[in-house]
Amino acid sequence: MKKKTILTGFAVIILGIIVVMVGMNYQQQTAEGNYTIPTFPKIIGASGPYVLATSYPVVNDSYPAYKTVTPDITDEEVKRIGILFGLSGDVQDYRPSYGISRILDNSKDPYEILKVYRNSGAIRYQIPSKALPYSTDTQPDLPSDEEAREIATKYLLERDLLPDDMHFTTVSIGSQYEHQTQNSYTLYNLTKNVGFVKEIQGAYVYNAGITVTIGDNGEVVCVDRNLRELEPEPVRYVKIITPEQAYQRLLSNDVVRKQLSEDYNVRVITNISLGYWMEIPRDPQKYVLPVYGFSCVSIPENISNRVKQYVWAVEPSEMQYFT
Amino acid sequence: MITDEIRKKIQGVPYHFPPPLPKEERNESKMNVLPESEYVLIESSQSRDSYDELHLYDGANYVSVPLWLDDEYSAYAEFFDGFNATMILRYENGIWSIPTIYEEIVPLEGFVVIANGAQDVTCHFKAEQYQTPPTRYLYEGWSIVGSWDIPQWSARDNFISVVDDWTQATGYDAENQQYETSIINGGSGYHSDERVIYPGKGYYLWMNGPATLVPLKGTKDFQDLYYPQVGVEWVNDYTITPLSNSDDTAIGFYNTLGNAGWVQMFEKGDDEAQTSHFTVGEDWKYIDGVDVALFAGHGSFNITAYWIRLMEPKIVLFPTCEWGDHDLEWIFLHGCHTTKCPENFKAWPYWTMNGVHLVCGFYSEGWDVDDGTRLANYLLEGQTIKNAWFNATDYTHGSGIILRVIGENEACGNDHIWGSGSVISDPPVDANTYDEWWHYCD
Repeated sequence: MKKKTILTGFAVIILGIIVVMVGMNYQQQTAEGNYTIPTFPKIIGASGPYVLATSYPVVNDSYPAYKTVTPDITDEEVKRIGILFGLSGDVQDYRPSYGISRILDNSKDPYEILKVYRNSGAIRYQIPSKALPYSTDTQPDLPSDEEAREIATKYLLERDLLPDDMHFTTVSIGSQYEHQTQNSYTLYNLTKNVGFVKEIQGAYVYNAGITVTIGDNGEVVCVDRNLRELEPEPVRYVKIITPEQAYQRLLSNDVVRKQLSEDYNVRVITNISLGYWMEIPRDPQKYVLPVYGFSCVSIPENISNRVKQYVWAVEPSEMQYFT
Repeated sequence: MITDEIRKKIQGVPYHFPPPLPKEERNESKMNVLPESEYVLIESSQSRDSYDELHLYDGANYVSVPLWLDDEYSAYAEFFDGFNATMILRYENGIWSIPTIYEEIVPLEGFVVIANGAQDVTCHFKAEQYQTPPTRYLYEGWSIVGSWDIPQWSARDNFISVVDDWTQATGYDAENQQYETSIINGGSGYHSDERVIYPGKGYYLWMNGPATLVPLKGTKDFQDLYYPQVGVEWVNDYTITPLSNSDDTAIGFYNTLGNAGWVQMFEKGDDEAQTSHFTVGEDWKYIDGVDVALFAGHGSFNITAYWIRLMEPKIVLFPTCEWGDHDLEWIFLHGCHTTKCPENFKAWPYWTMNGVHLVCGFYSEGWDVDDGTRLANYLLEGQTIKNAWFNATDYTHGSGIILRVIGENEACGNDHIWGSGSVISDPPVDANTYDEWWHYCD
């Protein structure tokens, strides 16, 4: 515990130094004009740009790993799902190589689409012109956050699409349209997203869940349901690395997926949590394994955003069981 | 002389003798390698007026017109009125032919004039506003081609639309009545494809298969629907934070559109990706020379300046770009923060958005994942540019990732790619306004 306190204190000092460095850089840039050629990324210490500003979580030595149930989705099943959303039409082998089928219902105005991902069982229902509208001169009538939550929950329950292990997380803006002139600025909120996340024994499943998008007049215009069925019993308990080791992996950029930004973008880690990783709907996935999630805030915060980085948590020696 | 070894291959490429003229035996004395000899027109400056006179030497001349001729002077009979020539010949699909007097002389098509003595021919070009870039279908084997417009481009750039098919270009030194050293696709030294293709000249071009030659300079709206062009640049091999999927995103995008009939103009990866391809000066050959472009790699910012990063130390600052004044309608910037600061797109000294309809990118961070094939498929199936970007990227990016598309005006938000839906006319560029669409990934 004492070690962690020292580390945290040390991190705060480093953070202060970095803020000063970034600030100096800012002054230099603005003094020379807005578009001077920037200097090359600073390597901030040997440990990289992630500054720890939270304590390490207490974790067990091992966690359950799960095997997925390979979905067996027939055309009839796709049709049945389509009916849930009021869609009719033929089931098209939309992207055979990726196992994606779809129903395109042109009898609706505007048209609606359902995609079913046979490798995962995920689905996406969308009214494209309403989910991603391009033109408006009036603010759509969007429900309050609480109303949005109620609409989404009811919509999913009526269709038996909300399993018991899903939990509401948040309501957020889904899309916006903005018109900018020299003297004016008009911003319209076009949709709201209502999110639900899956938990496995209290741990969140990352990169998965259900999102219901609600548009004008409270209409549900998109449902993304990225879930995979898991075998009820763990395939085995796997040893995991410690949060300290995971942090080292993060520093060496040994992450589940890399970001498209430069390293000198300093990030402060505000939370570390253990969860599970689910692949994108298109891809087959045999096992669902634990990962560490690092919640980060970029410095200076006002010009960037909060991001989350993921590091595999499974002890390397255990990976032989999951090939 | 061409040696047996050279006959077989030059720099790894099978060597082909240009076809002898009708009734002429192949004259290998004309095949001398003349490394230092490069035919240059008498007037070789960049000004258009210098090409108004085509100088012909006694004997065989391989010529072309770099621009459309005025209607009154475009037929062979009109063009060569009063000219003393033994014969005029065209060559296509392995066959020599004599054009009728009524046939039109068109850019990109080279022909042979057997002149009786040195003479000058006046070229009466159409006015600038009628100079619509041409295209030409090339058969397998030899063709005689010309270049388009006045700028002198390298063979590599000139034939970029048929880069997978051409292997050898051979000019003819009319003054010495000898073939020039062949230019080899990918060649080096004397055979380098960086050698210039001169406007007004005709070149034999060997094609391994049929393809459509599209001038490097953008075809703008006149023919965009029929010859839509795509180009991509990507970087994986950064010294700092290398990536793994930039090539997949870019090449997947490139090939998917290419397989659907789009003309593939350039695909530059890692150290081939150059700042000049994006910035004022040369962008018309690359990013601003196609209808849709994609960059995959790192994007970044430093308080007020946002840019995309190529291999160190190269970067592309947005205010050094000017997209859309030539051809570009849409660009996808698959890198972090690329559309975080649209103010930079209409800033001093240049306007990045100078006619381009939409710039699609990330407001937030993005992930190193493959989105290219899916994006192209969504575009081809008729999704709007904006929606295709949002849907394709949302697919691989989860909560916390924010996408942003910047449009010259609101109507641009309903653009589709050529051939897959409506496209608005090029919008007037307004210094102070733009429209934006945001999508919050879930």
